[in-house]
Amino acid sequence: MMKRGREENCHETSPSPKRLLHGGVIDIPLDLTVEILKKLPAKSLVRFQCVSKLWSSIISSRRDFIESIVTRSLTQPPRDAHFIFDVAPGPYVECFLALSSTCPPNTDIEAEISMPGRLGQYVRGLICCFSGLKLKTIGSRLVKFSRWEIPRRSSGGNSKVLDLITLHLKDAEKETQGWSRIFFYEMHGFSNWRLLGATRGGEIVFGELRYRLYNEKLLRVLYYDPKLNSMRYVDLEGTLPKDRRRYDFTSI
Amino acid sequence: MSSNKIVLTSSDGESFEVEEVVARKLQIVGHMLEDDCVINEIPLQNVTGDILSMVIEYCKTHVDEEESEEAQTKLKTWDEEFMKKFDIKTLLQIILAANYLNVKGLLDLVSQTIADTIKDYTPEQIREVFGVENDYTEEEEAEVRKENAWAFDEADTPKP
Repeated sequence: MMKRGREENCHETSPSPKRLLHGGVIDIPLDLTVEILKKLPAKSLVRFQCVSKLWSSIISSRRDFIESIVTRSLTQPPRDAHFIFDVAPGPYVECFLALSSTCPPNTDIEAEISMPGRLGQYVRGLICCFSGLKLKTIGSRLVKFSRWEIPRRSSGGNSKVLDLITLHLKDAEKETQGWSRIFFYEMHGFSNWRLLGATRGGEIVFGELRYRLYNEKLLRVLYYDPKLNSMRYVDLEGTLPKDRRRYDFTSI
Repeated sequence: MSSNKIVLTSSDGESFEVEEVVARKLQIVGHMLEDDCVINEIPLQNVTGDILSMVIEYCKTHVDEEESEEAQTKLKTWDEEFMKKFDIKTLLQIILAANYLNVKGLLDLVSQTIADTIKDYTPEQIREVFGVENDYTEEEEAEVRKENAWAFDEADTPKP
C-alpha cells in the first residue's frame, strides 16, 4: 500500500505568491480568477469556455458571476439596434446590424456586444456581419451573438424572419435592456451593392457591384449613416485592373 | 497627519520603511494597527520584496485621494502608466499580493489590467498563463469550439 506524507495536503489560508510559483506558472485562486473574468468582454468569455470545464462552468452557470455580468450590462447606456437586410442573390440573406449608441465616442461597445459572423467587422456602435446573426442566452441571461444564416425569404414576405429576430431582441431587451429601439431596413433597389463594412465613425459602407462586372475605372462607394439616416458617396480611383479584380477583394 | 513610521518586511527579508498613512492603505496592516498597539515592524510572509515595493509605490501615490476631477484624472493617468510596466506574470503576482494585503484600489486596477491583457488570448494561452489543466476530451473540446466558433474569429483565423 502506498503511503503519502500528510504534510503535503496542508493548505495555508492565504494564497502566497511565493508558495504558488511552480514551474513558472502562478496559481491564481478561484475567487481571483472569477474577479478577472468579471471584467472581460462577452466575446472573450465565450471563447474562454474552451479553456477547461471549470472555466466553462464559472462562465455559464456560476450565479454570482452571471449576475455581475448582467449588472454590468444594465449600467451601459441603451442602444438602438439597426438591421439592414440585403436582397442580393444567394442562399442566404445578408444582414447588417447597426447599434446606434448613445455612448461617448471612446466607450468600448465591444465590451458588451460581440461581433457575429465570420467576415464581420465591428466598430463603435456598429456591427457588420455577412452571414447573419443569432441572439441567444448563456446561462439564463447573458446575451450573446452567434452566427446564423437567415433563410432566404419566400415570395410571401419575410415577416417570419423578422418576427424571429424581433422576438430574440425583445428577450434580450427585457433581460439586459441592451437596446432601446430596434430598426429594420430592407435593401430594396440595392441589388448592385454589396456590404463592405463599417467606418470608425459608424457609417455603413457599400461597394458597387458593377465595378467588378464592367470595366469601370472608378469604384463608387456609398456611406450610410444610420444615426443621421443620410447617404453620401465617394468615387475611388487607382483600383486594380479588371483581370485582377475579384469579388472578394472589394475591401476598404 | 501622523508621521509615525512603520517597517514592512517581505517574505524574503527586504524591509521598507513607510509612513503609517501609507501602510494603512494595506488593510491587513490597518487591521493590525486598529488595536492601538504600538507596532513598528510588520512581517508580511506572503509577499516578496520586489512585488511589495510595487504595492508600496501604488499606496504612496494613492495616499491622499482628492475628490477634484483634475486630481482624479492625474491619478488615472498614473495608474495606466504604472500598469504598463508589468508583463502578465508580474501582474498575476501583483494581484495575489493586492489580495493578500487587501488593497482594494490596486486589486480593481490590476484585475482590469489583466482582463485587458488577456482578452484576445486563445484558450491555449490562457491555460499556459493560468496553469489550467485542460480537462476536456478532444471530442468535447471540438464540440465547445464549434458551438462558439464565432468567438474565435480574430484569435484563430488569419485576416483575409
